[in-house]
Amino acid sequence: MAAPDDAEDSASDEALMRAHVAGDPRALARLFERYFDRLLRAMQRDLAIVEEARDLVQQTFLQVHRARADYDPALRFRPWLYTIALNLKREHLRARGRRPTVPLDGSQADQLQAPEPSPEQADTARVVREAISSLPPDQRAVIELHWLDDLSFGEAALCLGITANAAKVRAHRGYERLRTRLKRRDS
Amino acid sequence: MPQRCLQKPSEPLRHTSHMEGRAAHEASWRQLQQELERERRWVGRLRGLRTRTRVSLVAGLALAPAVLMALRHGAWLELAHGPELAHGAVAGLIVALTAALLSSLGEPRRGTRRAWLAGLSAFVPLAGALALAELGETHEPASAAACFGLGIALAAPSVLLALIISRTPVRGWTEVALLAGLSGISASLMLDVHCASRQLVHLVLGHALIGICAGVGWAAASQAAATGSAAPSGKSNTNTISKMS
Repeated sequence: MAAPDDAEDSASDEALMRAHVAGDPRALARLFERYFDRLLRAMQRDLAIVEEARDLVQQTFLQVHRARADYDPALRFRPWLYTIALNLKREHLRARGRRPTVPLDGSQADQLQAPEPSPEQADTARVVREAISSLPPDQRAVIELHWLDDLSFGEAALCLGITANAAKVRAHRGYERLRTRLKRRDS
Repeated sequence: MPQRCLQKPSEPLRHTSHMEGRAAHEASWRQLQQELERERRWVGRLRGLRTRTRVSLVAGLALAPAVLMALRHGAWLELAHGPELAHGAVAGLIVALTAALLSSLGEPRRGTRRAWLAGLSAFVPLAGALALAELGETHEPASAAACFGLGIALAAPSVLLALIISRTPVRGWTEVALLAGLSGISASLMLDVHCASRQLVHLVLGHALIGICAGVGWAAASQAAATGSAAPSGKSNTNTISKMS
């Protein structure tokens, strides 16, 4: 991939998407560079097979390209991107007729990208991820988008087709449940 | 906020042993570029049209036979003076067809599956058949089998076009069933205008069944295609899914 110049580096997602719609071939490459790892993490939360997660990230950007004529420059790019990604993941899981499967026991530690966390950090992270995965799906979805993917409640709500207030309520209940479970485990 | 009390878990990326980190990123980008290159073809160009344009194309193709037939025979004038039930059935058809097209071709977003449309797609042709049975005979009747075959043939092009220009990779069977069912209803409406028979048995078997059979048939084919093309691990899904969309 060609190295982006400084102007592209500082360009907003929306500006890059506008450039892609206008036909700039480097703009999508820059967006891909920005969001590949983030989307891969989001996919890997529910998909144990690495290639499937990577394929879905590719498909997400393919859909972004196909839907470029419908992109509204007045709206934020990130929730639009995540909406496409989450819908593709949902469709994929539904087509396979199975529930999300993710190894949470660190059994693939030899395949992790550096840097490796300390054993204590890794254990804490594993416990929190397990607690998140045990949440009801609606609460889990909001928490993953808001906490792990750093979307605002408004953006998470857009992705999930709910109101921002509903997203906040779900997140609040989910965080309460998480805290209770983790406290119970600690005690 | 509760999350302040929680430590954000690290989410290390898992990679295959032979293709890690940056290499995986580069490989994915190259594959995506190949897909983007394929999008330059005419099918890709059609998929890249605005949603409203694509919906108009499919809706136009679905409704054109009925409109042309009506203009030619002036039979809709007859319908306009028909019973209220007939007007309701046609209005229901238009609403259901528009909603199904928007649902099937629209942007990917949560909640695109509309189960109530499935009910409409089954109800509308039956209601239409009952309503048109009240209009009486004005032209030469045809056999129910001939009407059914013609209707199925008329319903196919718009469904094919819709599947070709749909952007979402894997279509749910409900969306396919709705789209095909409603295209079938449109075809049966054309037959209602063209065909003289107002016998209830003929209208149900030769006309109303078109929408239902088209919906069920396309849904079954779509389901079979989705099951048969489930991509194995290690192979890109993108090519497989592009063929289906």
